[in-house]
Amino acid sequence: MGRWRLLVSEGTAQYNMALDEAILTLNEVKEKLNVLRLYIFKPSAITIGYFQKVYETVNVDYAYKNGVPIVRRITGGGAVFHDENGEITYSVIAKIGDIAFDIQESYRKICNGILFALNHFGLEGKFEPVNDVIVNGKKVSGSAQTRKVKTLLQHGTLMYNTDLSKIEQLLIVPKDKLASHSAKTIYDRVTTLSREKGVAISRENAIKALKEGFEKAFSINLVEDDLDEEEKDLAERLVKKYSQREWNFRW
Amino acid sequence: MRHLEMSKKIVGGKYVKIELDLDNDIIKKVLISGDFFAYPIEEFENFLNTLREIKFTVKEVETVFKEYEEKIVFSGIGINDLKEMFFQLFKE
Repeated sequence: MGRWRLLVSEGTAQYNMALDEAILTLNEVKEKLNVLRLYIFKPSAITIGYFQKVYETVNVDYAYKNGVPIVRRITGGGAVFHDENGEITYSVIAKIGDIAFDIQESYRKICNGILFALNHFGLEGKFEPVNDVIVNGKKVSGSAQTRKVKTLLQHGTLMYNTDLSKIEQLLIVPKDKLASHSAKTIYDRVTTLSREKGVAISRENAIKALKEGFEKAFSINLVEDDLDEEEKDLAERLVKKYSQREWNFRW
Repeated sequence: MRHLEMSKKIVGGKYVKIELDLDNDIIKKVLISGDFFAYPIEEFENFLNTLREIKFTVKEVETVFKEYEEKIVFSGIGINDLKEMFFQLFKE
């Protein structure tokens, strides 16, 4: 059974994205253990996909008025509202050969970790290509991936108690996108673990479920660890990039 | 300067939008945006850079697509979806 590092933390959107990039960069060039990060965005924030136009995706004025930062990811995919009181983000930073060379297969394998985490709550999830996990027909997790030559970074969400009304207020979801999922509103398309279970699910319980879910999905032992000095240094330098308008509002 | 744009939600896939600024049929600005995935990002950027400053003709655009079709893996959209959208823009 392989051993991976488990890093659990909370931080700003800028720091979280910087740390993901730092670990990806270092794991690509050094012989290091694969990593699972489980983290909280504090304060709540929006991340947008690398290829997205910010003003077509986010109610920017509303976000600013409400103090919600907007940060561009290095991964593709759509905009995400990371609710500090209702969402956990995971990152898998691993050798591509340990997951799958085929991109769709790698999404499926990593999302198995989410599916097992859902089982922890007695929920049956389903992986819906390209990058979603659905429960009772609604999205509870989305993922996004980028790759270097040898290493991949996939980060994604688990909405255990996200305030869905904030998604509706902060993000611009095209009607044809909702319609393609037979949904009229965000509430028809997206859900949370708490909503599906009818009881409030705690952050601690969601983190525990994710840890166990990924251990089962990859037959690994996750060993809680701290950042090393190189990771800290590089992340600190990259925070600047994710704080700049030139990056976040480039399109 | 002429501005052309087209957006599409790919069936079973992602949203994509192409925007072009043309000056005397030379592509001066090109942006392909959306919630799709393209790997590696660096090659996708090179693809856009190569489209810039070429003449907006089927032949020139096809040459660029051919150069990059093996270098970029798309997810949520296909390279043929992009080609088709470019061809639609030629008709405008």
